[in-house]
Amino acid sequence: MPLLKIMDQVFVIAERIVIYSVLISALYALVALGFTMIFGVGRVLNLAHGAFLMVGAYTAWFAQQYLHWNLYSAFALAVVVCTLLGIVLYHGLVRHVQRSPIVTLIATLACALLIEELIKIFFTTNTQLLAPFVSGSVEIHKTTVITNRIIAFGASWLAILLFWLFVHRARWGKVILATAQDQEGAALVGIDVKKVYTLTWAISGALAGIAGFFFASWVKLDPFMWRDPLIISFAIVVVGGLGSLKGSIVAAYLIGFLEVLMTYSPSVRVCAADFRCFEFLGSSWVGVSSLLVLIAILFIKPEGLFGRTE
Amino acid sequence: MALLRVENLRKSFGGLMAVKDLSFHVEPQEILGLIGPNGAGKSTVFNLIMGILKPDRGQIFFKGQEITHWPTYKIVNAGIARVFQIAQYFPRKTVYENVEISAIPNEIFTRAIDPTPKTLQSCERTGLCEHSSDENRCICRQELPGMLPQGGLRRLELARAIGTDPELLLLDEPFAGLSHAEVDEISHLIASLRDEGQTIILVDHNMRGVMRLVDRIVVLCFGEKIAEGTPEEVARNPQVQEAYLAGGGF
Repeated sequence: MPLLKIMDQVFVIAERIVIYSVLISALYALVALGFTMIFGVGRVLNLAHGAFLMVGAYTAWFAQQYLHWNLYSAFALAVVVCTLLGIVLYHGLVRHVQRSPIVTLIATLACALLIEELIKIFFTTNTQLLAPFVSGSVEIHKTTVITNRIIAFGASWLAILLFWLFVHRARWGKVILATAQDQEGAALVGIDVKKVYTLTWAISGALAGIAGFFFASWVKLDPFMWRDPLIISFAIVVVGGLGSLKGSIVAAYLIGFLEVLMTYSPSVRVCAADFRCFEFLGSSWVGVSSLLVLIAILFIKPEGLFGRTE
Repeated sequence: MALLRVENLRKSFGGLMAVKDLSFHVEPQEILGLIGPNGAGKSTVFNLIMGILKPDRGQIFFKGQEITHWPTYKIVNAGIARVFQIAQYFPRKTVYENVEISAIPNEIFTRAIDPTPKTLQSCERTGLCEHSSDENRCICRQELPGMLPQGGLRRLELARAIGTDPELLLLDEPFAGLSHAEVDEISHLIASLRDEGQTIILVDHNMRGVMRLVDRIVVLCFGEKIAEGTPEEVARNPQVQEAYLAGGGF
């Protein structure tokens, strides 16, 4: 029965789209988490966030490749290095320019470019691969999934849940939330706002280290890999509502789903008379989808899905 | 020894001298009234004490220690709290959470101290309880501060300030914008704080409102101290009476 066969094919593809988007979206949410936190608490758009992820990825790769550390130690080192990087960037740069959002944007972008150049110098522009925690793949119903991606999915959700618990249950989480709502008010109940910022930059760095490790093992390492995570973070945070954790997760799933959908959607080829052809939709449009959503949201609901008008 | 001592404090904004060589002090357990017409520099004095503004010159001493250039949080933790004229609450935290955040010890590496008893105590002292079936137990209100009437917001401000365990409480126009009934409630509350031994500096432009509450008054006019003394002495002072008339009856 050809019709049944076609239906079956459609189901297989639909299942694949759902499973893949559920997995990648969790990683996207983790990628955006540190970025949204820094914005939510300090009103700083950290354009070096993608570069943080890249530093995490290269640190793990370096520890594995050159120091011959095992993967777990390499992962831990990546998290530690990114945490320190967060603190250093805050105290060395952001703290001094924070009053001006434009200067902060330019300064953090310059940082990202600086890190890109340093990685080019030390590790060349060659693409590198980061060994996964677990190799091989598993079958989920009729879909083949790389095992490491399931690990990344689990790790992402674990990090998100721990973060949520910290912010809502722990004493210092409450202090961070209070500072996010009103910095002057926080100082007036005795909260050292600088210390809170230091802590948020450290946490943001640590989250970027974790995200960078899994992002690199999902895709690859090269000195330009910071751009995608930054664009993803930016899109997620704007779509979800700047500073909203819940919004970030919903937006991560929306963007992740659209990206995977785009990968599997058939492309439409339009050719001009001179045989120059353009492709619409399809896998080459993966990166475009998140940016289109971003622009659409800015038109319809500029404060984001879960954003607050301030 | 004076709890707070302000010496030759000066602050100008551009060409405008907001506070001019002001000196005064507050004794422990005293209520000092700082009065003057609008624009006399009262709120600026509070901002200088709290480290929100930095003085051009002069010094501020708290318990004998100079605090002139300390950051706000450090001044709060040393024992000074300020209640604002316009409520400065955290808008998306409940009344309980707003009070709780002031009661949380603000050091990363301290032993975890449960802020609940202090929070409840602050709510109780300021009348922000909603009573459960057990009449004697206070439960802090759980609604968002935006739901409270003006008087309730003023209570919340007081509760948040008390939560930081202040030795000195700065009250900035605590009666502004309140109804007659609410003015009575808040002045009753301030009187009860005074009876508990709380040192307070009370700013108001209305002298009548503070006469009954304060031990001593400092009168400011255009950033300068024009009189100081007991409420009766100040009321009899001709310079004050003149400023009264010139200032449109403060």
